[in-house]
Amino acid sequence: MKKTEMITIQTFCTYHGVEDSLIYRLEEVGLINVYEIEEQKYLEEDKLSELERLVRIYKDLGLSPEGIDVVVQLLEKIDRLQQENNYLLQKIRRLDQ
Amino acid sequence: MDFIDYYRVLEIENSAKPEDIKKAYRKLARKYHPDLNPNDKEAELKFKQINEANEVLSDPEKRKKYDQYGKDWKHAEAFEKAGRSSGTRPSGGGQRAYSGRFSEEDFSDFFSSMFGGGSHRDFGGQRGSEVRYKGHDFKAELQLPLSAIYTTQKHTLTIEGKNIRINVPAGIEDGQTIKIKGYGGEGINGGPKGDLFITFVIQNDTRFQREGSDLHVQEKLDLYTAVLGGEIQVETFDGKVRLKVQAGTQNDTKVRLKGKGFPVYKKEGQFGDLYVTYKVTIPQQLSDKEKELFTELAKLRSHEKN
Repeated sequence: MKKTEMITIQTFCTYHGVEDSLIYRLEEVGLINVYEIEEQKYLEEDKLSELERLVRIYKDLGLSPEGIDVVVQLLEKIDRLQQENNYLLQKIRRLDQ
Repeated sequence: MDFIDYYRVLEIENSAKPEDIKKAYRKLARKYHPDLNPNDKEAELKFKQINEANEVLSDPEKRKKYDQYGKDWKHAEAFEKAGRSSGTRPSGGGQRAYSGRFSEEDFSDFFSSMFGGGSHRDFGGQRGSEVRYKGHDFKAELQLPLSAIYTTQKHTLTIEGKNIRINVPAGIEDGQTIKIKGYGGEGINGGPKGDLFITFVIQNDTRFQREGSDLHVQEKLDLYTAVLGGEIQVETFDGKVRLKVQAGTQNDTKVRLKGKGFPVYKKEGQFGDLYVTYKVTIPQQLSDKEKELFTELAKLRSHEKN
């Protein structure tokens, strides 16, 4: 991972007005990855949208990192079920014809 | 522009206390939060409405004005002029606890006409002046006919006035979203650009039914070929093929043509299968001679049975 594709945790936290402890807690429950380069902690720029979503859920809904993890897993499950539902609808439409 | 009953939006009584408003708002905002309802336009609209209702009802000045003029909001300005001696000005008040992804442009015309253009609150968090930050992600929808995604093709999209050429891989699914890195909004203070998310809507313009990478089609089969067997020509997605029909083929018999289906997404050279269902057609308006021969056949059958 190149340093140019990373953003420091400090930068992210200053912008979003959150404590860096939140980032480490999110890492602890396995929701994000934190990288250390030359004793500086970084986040992947590529994953910022996802992290912003987690921070919104944390701030707006007042959930703990464990609670956010449950929400994320349930949303993934809904997504899978929706895909399965689409596939089955396609199949039913075909059988109806 | 219609009057909006903000109390009804928050499902509370007109006499609701500030803490009831806060409670109702938080409960509804949790239910309709866009991060918990991705791709749900109805929830998004509802979330905007409850934010707007909260913006007005949680601010004592705005609530007073709203309660005072209510349905007569169109005349609010005239009322204001008449009673200018009271001299109150709407303050910035109100507690927006939810960031969502909204700006003041999301407020209704009703809100703007009554309270002006929102209260200039920053919903995205603090803007550190020297902080590099990633730009917003853009979302777009691309409608394509099924026949166009049989092969990988280039398409040009216009996003925010810019033309973007993208490769649409063969076999993309209806409802599938792909990410184009760096084609979103400009980054802040030199931060990276956001990404572009394109969702594909595939409309079937063919006689084939698609099920993943398999295709299904119905083919008419005349009675004589079904009974005696023979050869028919079937049109597949990439041309015609000749099929052998077994003697005594029943109606609704399904045959599989391996590899004649739809391309498998991002697996070059791999195709699903084509399933052909035979629909046997029974001859109508028989001539006297045909009737005679069919009767003869029927008799032969009944003799065999007995």
